[in-house]
Amino acid sequence: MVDIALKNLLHDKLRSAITIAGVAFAVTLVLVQTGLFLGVMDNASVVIDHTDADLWVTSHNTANIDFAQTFSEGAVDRVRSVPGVARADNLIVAFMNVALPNGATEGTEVYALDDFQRWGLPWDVHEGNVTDLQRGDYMFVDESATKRFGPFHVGEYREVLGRRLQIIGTTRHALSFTTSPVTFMNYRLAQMIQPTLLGGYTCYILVKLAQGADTTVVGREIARRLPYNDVHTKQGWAAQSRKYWIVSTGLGLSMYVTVFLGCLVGVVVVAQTLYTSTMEHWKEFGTVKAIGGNNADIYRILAKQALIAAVIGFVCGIVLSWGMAPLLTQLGLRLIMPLWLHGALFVGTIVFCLGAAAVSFHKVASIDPALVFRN
Amino acid sequence: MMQQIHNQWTIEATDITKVFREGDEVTHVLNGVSLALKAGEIVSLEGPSGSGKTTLLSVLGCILTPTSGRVTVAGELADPSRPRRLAAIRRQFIGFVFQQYNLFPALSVVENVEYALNVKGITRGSRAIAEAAVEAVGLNDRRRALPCDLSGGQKQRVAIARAIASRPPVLLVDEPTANLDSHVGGQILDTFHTLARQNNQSLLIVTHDPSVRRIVDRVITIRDGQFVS
Repeated sequence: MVDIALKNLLHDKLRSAITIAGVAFAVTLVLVQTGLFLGVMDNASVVIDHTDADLWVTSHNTANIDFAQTFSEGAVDRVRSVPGVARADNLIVAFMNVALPNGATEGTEVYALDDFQRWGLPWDVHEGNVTDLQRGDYMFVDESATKRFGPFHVGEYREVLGRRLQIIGTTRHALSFTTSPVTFMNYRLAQMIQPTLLGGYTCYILVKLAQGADTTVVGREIARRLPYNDVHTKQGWAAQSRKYWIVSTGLGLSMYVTVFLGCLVGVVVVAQTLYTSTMEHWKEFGTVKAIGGNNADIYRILAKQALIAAVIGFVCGIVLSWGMAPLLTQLGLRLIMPLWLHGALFVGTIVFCLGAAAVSFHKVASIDPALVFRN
Repeated sequence: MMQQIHNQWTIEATDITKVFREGDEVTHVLNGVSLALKAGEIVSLEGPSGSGKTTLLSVLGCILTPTSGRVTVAGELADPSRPRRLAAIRRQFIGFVFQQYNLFPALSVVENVEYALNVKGITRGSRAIAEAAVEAVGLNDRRRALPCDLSGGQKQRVAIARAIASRPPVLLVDEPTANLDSHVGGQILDTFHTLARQNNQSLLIVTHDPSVRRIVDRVITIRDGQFVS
């Protein structure tokens, strides 16, 4: 059988290239934008996702993990007494200033715990031993801080709110939506550095449930015993932290608008080029009808042309997006492009391209085969 | 495929009228014409521009439906109320050759012929049938060429190959020599003559060209929608 759709595409190379470029552009736009969105959203909850806690106790109405509010650290004892709680610890999350060797000051988001290892934090240690944080005025700094702090090495000192701390380790992928570099230090040390705000106070209580304990039941009991606090499941707290940034920054809307525009560009380009192609092949399609073909024969040609453009354009878009990923990483942007996103985008590309072809279907249906006898 | 025709006529039109209406304007293009062709018969339909030649060709080809009258092709009544059946009649029984050739520019000579076979529902062995048809019109050495690389005469031959490949009992041809010089036009007419006789096909040629008379069995002249001879 003659594959006229493919032949048409190969024959009109420029138009085909424009169609494929349109699809590739749309795919790249949607994939990169969504990938950046997922990257930023991942930053918003990355610490929650990696912390080995089943429940998070927060101050009442705390919006997200970065904007922590304090409450009495003694509350942790009441949590520990709740049946079904295997362990519970205080966690401080606070913004502090770091004096840099060049005299400048930069902000850092401090995570302070008594025993980091117990809670799986930090999850990607590059240098150093995290248990050493308990031994003195030490801190771990995430490597992403290089952009803001300048180069630093293990063994060097930095002043945090006037207190000299030694960097004894580095981590990777500990990020915050606020883009402030993340540092880790001992819980008591953080209180000593900022006694007025943190002395006797904590920001969160991390809760690990005993084996077989029911999350809802234990959570409800903690909430009953701590009526001025909120209790979140790990997933719920992560989702709330992400949602805060999506809604408050307009990031979600921006992402949806860009995705919509990407889809629109793809559909318009494909619809426009297929429609023009249909008009140019008007007489040929009339001939198909005259010799006994029907609308479905022509729909198949157009649909196949759209499908071929969709598949090639999709592949080009994927290659382009992955090609851009290292560049964006160098710029400090995280791009998360999971397999499900590729799958969804592929299905979307096919559906939108077929939809674009349908614009021409309507025109094809009106072709009068008698036109073949007109000059 | 060549159909078994029980009736002596492969195509028969009886008392055909065709009226076009555009707003209040009514144009009677065909006024009760009747026509029948036997298998293997070659007939030319002549007449001035606007006389109704092409409209009659379209009606006979089941592309236009008549306002009144009936058309029978290969023994089957062309029922205007069944458009799908009309398309099936075109697929099964009629081969068309258009004045402008109407070839697919993206397809080679042999692919143009093969695609028409595919549209007609012939897929198995379609390439071999197409190649045989291309050979029959003397274009074997140009079978891989695209239409843009062919002369007018060669394009016309491709159009002929496309029309005859499925061996329909009826061939309807519109102005086959209009765009060709007299020498090439003569060759094309010879090709038509040979193939129609060989395949026992009824051939109706609409033309202005008097040289067509050389190959036909009958000449019908139409004027103002009526046959005059």
